[in-house]
Amino acid sequence: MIERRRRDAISTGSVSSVASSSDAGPHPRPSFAVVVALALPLSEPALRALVALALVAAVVAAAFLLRALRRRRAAWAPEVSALAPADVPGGLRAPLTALVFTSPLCGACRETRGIVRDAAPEVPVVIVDVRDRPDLARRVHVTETPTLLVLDSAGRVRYAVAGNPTPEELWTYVREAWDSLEREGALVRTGAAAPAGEA
Amino acid sequence: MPRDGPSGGVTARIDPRAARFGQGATALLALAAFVLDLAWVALLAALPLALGVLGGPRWNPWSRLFRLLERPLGIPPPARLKDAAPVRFANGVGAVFLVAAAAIVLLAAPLWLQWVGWGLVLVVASLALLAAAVDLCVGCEVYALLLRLRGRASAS
Repeated sequence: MIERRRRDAISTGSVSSVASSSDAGPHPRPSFAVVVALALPLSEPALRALVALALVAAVVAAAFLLRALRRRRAAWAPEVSALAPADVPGGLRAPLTALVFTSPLCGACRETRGIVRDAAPEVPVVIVDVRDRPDLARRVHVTETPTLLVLDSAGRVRYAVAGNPTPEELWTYVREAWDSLEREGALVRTGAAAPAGEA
Repeated sequence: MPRDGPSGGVTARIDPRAARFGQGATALLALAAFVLDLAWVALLAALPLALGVLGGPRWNPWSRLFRLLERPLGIPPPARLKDAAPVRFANGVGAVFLVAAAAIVLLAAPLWLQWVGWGLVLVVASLALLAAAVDLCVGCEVYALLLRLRGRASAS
């Protein structure tokens, strides 16, 4: 291995007695010392191990950082605070409905239904392709898919997020929505029971 | 289990944990290649990726290995499946980088190019490690971005 490195160093230096496929004719000759100095680290296993370790540490650090950053969702708010129930496909019969805007080239959109099912199984999911309802998408000012809105039966937006929320985040906000619906007495009117998991 | 894929065609769905398993193995091999200064190990890492890219998820040896280990290790069935297409793309890019790096080193390219080659190996190692450790597949995101750009270009 070291012999190959020396041979490379020599072939790029002034001594071209060793024929090499990379020899294309006269080319600038770097100082032999510089070339040897560059060659040394590449062949030193300890240094390579160190670089590898540093890389793994950097990747792990970056991963944790990215995780933390992903939690802080970009501030996005729908342009409207409420949608008319008649505008929403299927209507808004349930106390809370999850309205998900999707688009054809959206990989993350496949996860949204599963996330809602994990976090809030009592909330029905209505999927709307932005191509089918551009008017709705424009009214809500959808800039990214998936965009998830949690609407109550009156059409008020209780929670909205651009991009997939984590199940924990969604669970928290759906819980808050349920609680405020209870306080407003809306649940008593519809006779709906609070979701399981309540203390 | 074919479903409508992002490009409108039919694409397979895969167990995301199998994909991460393969990415972890790739990361380990790439790092080993770098630390041991063995370019052929990089080629070894590229081979399963290339098989998976060319043949589809069923041909990916890492996915096969994961499936074999599922029952003996008591791994439960996947809770959710993900599209195979973005992972295939990411694996393809990784395979190309690894093969290019191995070729550069094995063909005794000028030293500066060998540094580039090993740099490519390290890039593959880091991205594969990221995907395996925290489920962040950068290649998959790039695939989605490219599709979006292509969609925009064809629409205009």
